[in-house]
Formats: sequence, structure tokens, C-alpha cells
Amino acid sequence: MTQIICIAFIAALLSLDTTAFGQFMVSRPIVSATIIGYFLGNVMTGLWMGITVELIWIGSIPMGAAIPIETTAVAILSVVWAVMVRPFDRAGVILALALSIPAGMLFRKFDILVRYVNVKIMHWVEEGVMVGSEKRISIGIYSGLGLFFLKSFILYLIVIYPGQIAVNLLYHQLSHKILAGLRLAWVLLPVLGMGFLLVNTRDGKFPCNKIEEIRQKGHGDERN
Amino acid sequence: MKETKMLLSVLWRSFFIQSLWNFERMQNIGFVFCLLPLLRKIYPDPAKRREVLVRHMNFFNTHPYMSNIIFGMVASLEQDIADGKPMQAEQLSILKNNMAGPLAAIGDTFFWATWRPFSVLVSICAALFLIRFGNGAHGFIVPLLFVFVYNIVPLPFRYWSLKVSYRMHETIVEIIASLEFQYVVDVVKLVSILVLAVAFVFYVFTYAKTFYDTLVFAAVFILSVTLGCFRVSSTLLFFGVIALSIILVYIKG
Repeated sequence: MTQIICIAFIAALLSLDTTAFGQFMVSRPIVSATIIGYFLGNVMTGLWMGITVELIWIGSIPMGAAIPIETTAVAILSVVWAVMVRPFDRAGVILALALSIPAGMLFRKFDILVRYVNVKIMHWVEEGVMVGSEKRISIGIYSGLGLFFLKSFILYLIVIYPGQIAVNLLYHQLSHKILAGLRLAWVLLPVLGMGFLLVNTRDGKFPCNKIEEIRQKGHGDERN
Repeated sequence: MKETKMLLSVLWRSFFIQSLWNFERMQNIGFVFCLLPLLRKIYPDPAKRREVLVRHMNFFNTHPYMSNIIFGMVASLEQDIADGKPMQAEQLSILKNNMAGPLAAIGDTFFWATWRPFSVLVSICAALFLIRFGNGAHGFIVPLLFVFVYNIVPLPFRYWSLKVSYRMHETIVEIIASLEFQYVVDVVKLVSILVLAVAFVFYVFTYAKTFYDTLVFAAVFILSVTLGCFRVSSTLLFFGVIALSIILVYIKG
């Protein structure tokens, strides 16, 4: 239990970097997953998961009001579940990664919830400033920071243990061939990510981009 | 010295600009939180400062790294207003919000869509090299390298842009325009493609044991580029590759 609390604490601290503090990119999967792997005594699994998640969700970053799937949570949870349950089996690692995706979506939902709660805090700060209480600005900022931290900390605490059980149970239900397929996916997923990276780098300059443009224009004409 | 200390205080506060990000006015409280040390100097009278703070609590949203440009510019223009120069508070508000959008676009394009993938690629090359030739226990070097390579540009930029915009007032707009971000974006993207090519070839040589494996790797790569162009979701393709892997194992027997 102490280990789970420690991991949840470190993970929540790292998650703050996504939105609430700094944006030094320490929350990116390549960093956060490796750090968690290091704390759990398996750096290489952490690094591999970090690379895989980083590449596949390379375009996933909060821009403007868009809130994408929380890749930090996906990377961290996949490492935690894999290292705690099946540290030396690549099939177990990929299974943990697949199961961490719904968790990443859950984290996203709660991230949105925090931003709605922040509206209330913002109004409280505004009312304070109107009557001359400048202190409320700092209190509001640290409350927002605290909320983002608490959201991640509590969610990590809640999902780590059931996730371990789920990975373990599911692993034993899978046939040898499916497990062999997951081991193959372990090497193929970074290739998928490299493809995404190329698309991200050459965005809008592929022939299929033109087809997509024409298709969207066609839909626009139909609507008109 | 005093100015440097004050600007460093604003820089530190700028790391919190999104701490109270909300769906109604986004970074508005973060904005006033960052600007507070400068406003305390410009408006020592709390009653006058209160008016200014309330004025700056309207909607605000930009790229967190580019926000420092707006802090410096707003502070210098607030100084002009406090000194009685002909500048309307409404004009300042319009200017602030008109700058936020284009600066956000520059920040998203350069820092997040170009510099971050480049830093990832450099780190991945190091990771592949380490996995192939080095000791696994040294894997922690890779995230350190990523954080170092990534932050080598935005962190100094955040301080520099704050300092320059504070001193240059609205002429900062011309300075930013002269930086030719698009040219830098094109160059970094070109280098990224070369690094990606090296990483891909190195990866295939390391993990593809047979000609069949090489073909599978090439097929997955082409598939991801093609479907990526059509904006098929990453999550969907992730599960697609897992399904494909299982099918390939069944076919191969």
C-alpha cells in the first residue's frame, strides 16, 4: 500500500506539468514512464512504454480549449501495472498498456470536471478582488494547483490496485497465440508511432491530405 | 538589478498561468497572478490597482510560453497609462486579446508541433542506441536528455521575451514578426525527417530478424502514415495494430 501511495504521489506531481505548472514536459510519457519504471526497479520497461506512448499520441497535447486523452496517465499506469504484475513478459506489458487507455479517458473526464470547478473558484477570486482582497488571487491559483494534484493523486490511488488485478486475471485468460500476438505488437507499436510522427512532421503535405481536403469540401458543398 | 529581480518573479509566476485554467475565462486569473508584481510597482495605490486588476480579469487565453510577451507589453503600457500618456485602457484590453490568438498559434506550431517532436526524436535515437549497445540501467539518461533538449529553447525564450517586451512596449510585435518562426519551423521539420529516417532504419535493423519481419514493419509504417493522413484516431490504430499482430501470429501458425 505504501508503494502505491508513493507512486500515486510521484505520478500526481508529474501530472501537474501537463497543465497546472510549468509545462517543462516532465509529464510527457517518455519522461514520466521512465521515472516510474526507475522507482519500480525496471527502467527499461518504463522507457519502452514511454517511447511507445509518446510516439503513438505525439499529436496529443492540450491546445487552446481542447483536452486530449491523458497520455501521462496511460504511460504511468501501463508501467505500474506491467512492472507489478508481469515485469519480464512483453505480452503483459502490452496488455497493461491496452487496459490503461480507458483509464486515460477517465482521467480526461476528471480533468474537465476540475476545469468546471475552477470556474467557481475564479468567481470567488473575482469577488474578492472587487472588494480589495488581492490575497484571493494567490489562494485561487494554489487552490487550482491543489485541485489538479488531488484529482490525479486520488485517481491513481483508486485505479492502481484494481488495474493490477485486471491485468493479472486477463493475462491468465488469454491463449498462447494471443499472448504471442501481444509480444509482436510490442515491436510493431513503435513503428506505428514513427508513422504518426512522420504525418505530424509533414502535416498537410501528403497526397492523401489533398484527397481528405476534397472530401471535406464535398461534404461542405452537400451541406450548402 | 531591481528590474531583473521583478522580471524573474514574473517568470516564476508565469509557470502557474494555467493553475486556475477554467472553461469560462480560461487563463484570466493566471494572467493577473503573473502581472501582480509589476502592477504593484506601477500602481502603489491599492484602490487604483484594484480597478486595473478587475479590468484584466476578462477572458484571456494564449500559449503558456508566449504569454510572457503579453505580460511585458501590458506592464509597459500600463506604466504609460499611469504616467498619463494618451492610451485608453480599452485599447490595451483589445490589443492584449488581439495578440493572444496569433501568439498562441505561433507557440502551438513551433513549440508543440515542431520542437517537441524533434526533441522526442533525438531522445528516441539515444534510447535505441542505448538499448542496442548500452546498459539498460542507464535508461534514465533518455528522459534527462529529452527534458534538456526540449527546454533549451523555451525556457530562455520565456525570460528573453518578457524582458524585451517590457522594454520595447508594443514594438515587440515587430520583433516577433522578424523572428521568422516559419523558416525555423521548416528547418527543424526537415532535420526531424532525417533523424526519423535514421531512427526507423536503425529500428528495423535491430528488431527485424527476417525479410518477412522487414516487410511487416514497412507495411505497418505505410499503413500508419496513410491512415494518419486521413486523421484516423491514434487510439483506434493502436488497437488495430494489436489486432493485426494477433492475426499475423494466427496466420503464421
